[in-house]
Amino acid sequence: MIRMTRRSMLATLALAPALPKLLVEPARAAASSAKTRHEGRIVVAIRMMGGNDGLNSVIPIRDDRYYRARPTIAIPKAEAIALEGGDVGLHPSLAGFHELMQNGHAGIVQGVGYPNSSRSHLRATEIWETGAIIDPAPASGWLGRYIEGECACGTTELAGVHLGPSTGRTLASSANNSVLIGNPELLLSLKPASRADERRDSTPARAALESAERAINAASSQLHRARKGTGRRFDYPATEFGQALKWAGNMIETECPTRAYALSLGSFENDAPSFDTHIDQLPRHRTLYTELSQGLRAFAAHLSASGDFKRVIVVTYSDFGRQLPENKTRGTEHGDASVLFYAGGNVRAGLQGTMPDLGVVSNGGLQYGVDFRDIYADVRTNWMGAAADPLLDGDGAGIRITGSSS
Amino acid sequence: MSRDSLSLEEAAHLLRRLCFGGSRDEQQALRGKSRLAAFDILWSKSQTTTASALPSPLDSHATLAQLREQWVAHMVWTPSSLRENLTLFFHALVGSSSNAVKNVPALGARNALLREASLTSVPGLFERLVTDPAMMVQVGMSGHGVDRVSDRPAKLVLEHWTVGAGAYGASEMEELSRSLTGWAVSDAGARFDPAQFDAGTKTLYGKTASFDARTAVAHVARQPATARRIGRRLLRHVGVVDPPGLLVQQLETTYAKTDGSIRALLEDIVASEAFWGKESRASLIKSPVHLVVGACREFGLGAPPAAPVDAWLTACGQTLFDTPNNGEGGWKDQEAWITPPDRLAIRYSLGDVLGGISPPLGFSSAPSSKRSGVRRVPERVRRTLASLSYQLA
Repeated sequence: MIRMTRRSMLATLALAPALPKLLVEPARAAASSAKTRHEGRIVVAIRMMGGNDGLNSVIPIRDDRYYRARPTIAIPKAEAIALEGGDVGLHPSLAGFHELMQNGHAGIVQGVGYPNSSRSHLRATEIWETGAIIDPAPASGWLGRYIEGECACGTTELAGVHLGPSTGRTLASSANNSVLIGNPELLLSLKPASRADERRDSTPARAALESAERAINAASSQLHRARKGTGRRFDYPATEFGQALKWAGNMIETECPTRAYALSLGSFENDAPSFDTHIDQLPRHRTLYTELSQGLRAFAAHLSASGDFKRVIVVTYSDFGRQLPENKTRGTEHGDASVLFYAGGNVRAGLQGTMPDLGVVSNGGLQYGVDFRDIYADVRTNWMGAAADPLLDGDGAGIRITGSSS
Repeated sequence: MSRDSLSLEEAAHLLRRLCFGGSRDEQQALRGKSRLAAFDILWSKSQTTTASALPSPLDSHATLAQLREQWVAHMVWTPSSLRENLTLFFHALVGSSSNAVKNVPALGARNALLREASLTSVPGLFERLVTDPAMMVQVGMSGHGVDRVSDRPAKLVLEHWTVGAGAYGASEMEELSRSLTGWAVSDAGARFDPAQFDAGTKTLYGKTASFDARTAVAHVARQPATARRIGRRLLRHVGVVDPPGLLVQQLETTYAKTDGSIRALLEDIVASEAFWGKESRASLIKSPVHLVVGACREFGLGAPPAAPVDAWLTACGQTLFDTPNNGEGGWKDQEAWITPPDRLAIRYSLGDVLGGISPPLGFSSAPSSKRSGVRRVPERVRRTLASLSYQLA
């Protein structure tokens, strides 16, 4: 069981194996003070499952084409939360998120996508999680590559943590240093196993079990620490996502060494809503956007109170956006460019990028203006202080969501 | 250890690998027997007549959950546990989807068919299975006629039942596809319509004949590639590690000689050094079904509390009658049972589950401690079930 106080973490850093080749550049030696700045920083990736409709998140309330294309499911101008400039408004259920934007703690990038984007759930998700558009996709996730290659935390078992029922590839790496926590109460109730087992001969099957047991013991240990966090004082939604976010908040507050968290909102399970809104888009968005807003607002309040918010950034991702015209079942079909939400105690708040031109529509989908890989590169390099990842091969257009003191 | 006389430990090993595990009495009954004589005892027990019927007749309103619970209870109670283990093996091999087959009694009937045929031969089993209504619906054979030809039924039979990926090409797929035409399944059952059947000759794996569904599938089942694949799968199912691959070769030979006799294959396995060797001990990570059924059998706990165990099995990744990928193939085994490692924590809660307490799953804000029919599970049993060693057969 690893207890990671700041002191022991620094001791571990000193004992860490030789720095990966990527870091051994002359320029880095001069940036040692920058290294300290990046230390302890955390990324939280939230998957909005199913393909979020950017057009109903950030709404072109002055554009007639939007209302003509969506006679039944467009959000009326009067209901949208007007943003500065007045050309766009937020979905009313994003009021909580809007509050964070006004406090300088959140933003939204418009028109996010990549060239020749995929409209298949599996393929698109794989692209967003690996940060790469090559085919076949790499086995590693964009954050997995960070925690494996760049992060001194890479030697711990909990460098990356998925909180929730599903995994995905965001944290995947060959270092196997991320863990799925789908049943926190169950892990908390684990009793240490009898050590009489240790004398048996090892087989591959036994070795696999031992490895799994180490992982759940490490997770259990961290969760016990995290229980001392103050998350219960904040208004996290009583949903899987909300409670998962609360655990993340508690783990961060109690100095868990984890550097990357992955969560998901929405589910393809039978009765659960997802962002794949082919049918009856309006009530699903109300539910999900409220959940997202409420969750992030509680998270921000929690970590601001504990003084940790300034070292955390949250980014969302979703399979794809949706098409401009509505379909016959009060929903929308798979599309292209969408929006990306982000939040943190040290971000460039507000609206970034531009609303896609509703006159430039390709098979119903909208054009992207910001390559998502540039956003990832910003997080990886400016926020986490890592060298550039060649797979994050965007336009290099210089989009920045991370704060100016990064 | 002499193969002429099993020790108690070896008897336990045999029971664990072939029968989900056995009680102390069952182990004692095999002690001192030779390997094949012990196997013979287990085989004979599996022939008891009660085993060939459904555990109890399902009425037309039976739910899927009831069907699952019934099968688990049957696996615990029946003396024919070898037969149940083989039923589970074939159930996983050909896959099952309650989404594709919504008729619960039909799913039960297919299971009864597998149960009955699991002690016969592989070609014989497949020959019967291919015209089982639930199976036909699942692979898409219903309504698959001369004018609506789909590749899917043939692909599933070739890939998941018989020769496997890489051992068939477009020609096999087409010819088998033609052979599978003519069937339709309705509430009244399965019907063959000659008008929808492609009656011409087909050439399948070197033989030209007027194959129909049964004869075509039996012929494919007799191919060496099928023998190899079934042999390998069986070895995996019973946890035999055979790196030189000699045992697989032997199984292939036996398969050809005995026309795929399941008994002959198992005898080869039980008579082999590989089955008893060090590498094959503690080499099998039990499937969740094996874990719970074995626990009930070994510790004499009786039939488990239905609802908590049903939920627990799904949480562990094994829902009976619903294999992954909508029934295309079965569950991934070994390390997959403990991937993600979370699943190991769920497995460790088996002691509580058998006592009727559902473990707290997911992210509910309060831990759940629903009690449904509290029963006493002795503390030492609980501790054993929560140990790493117990996860291994």
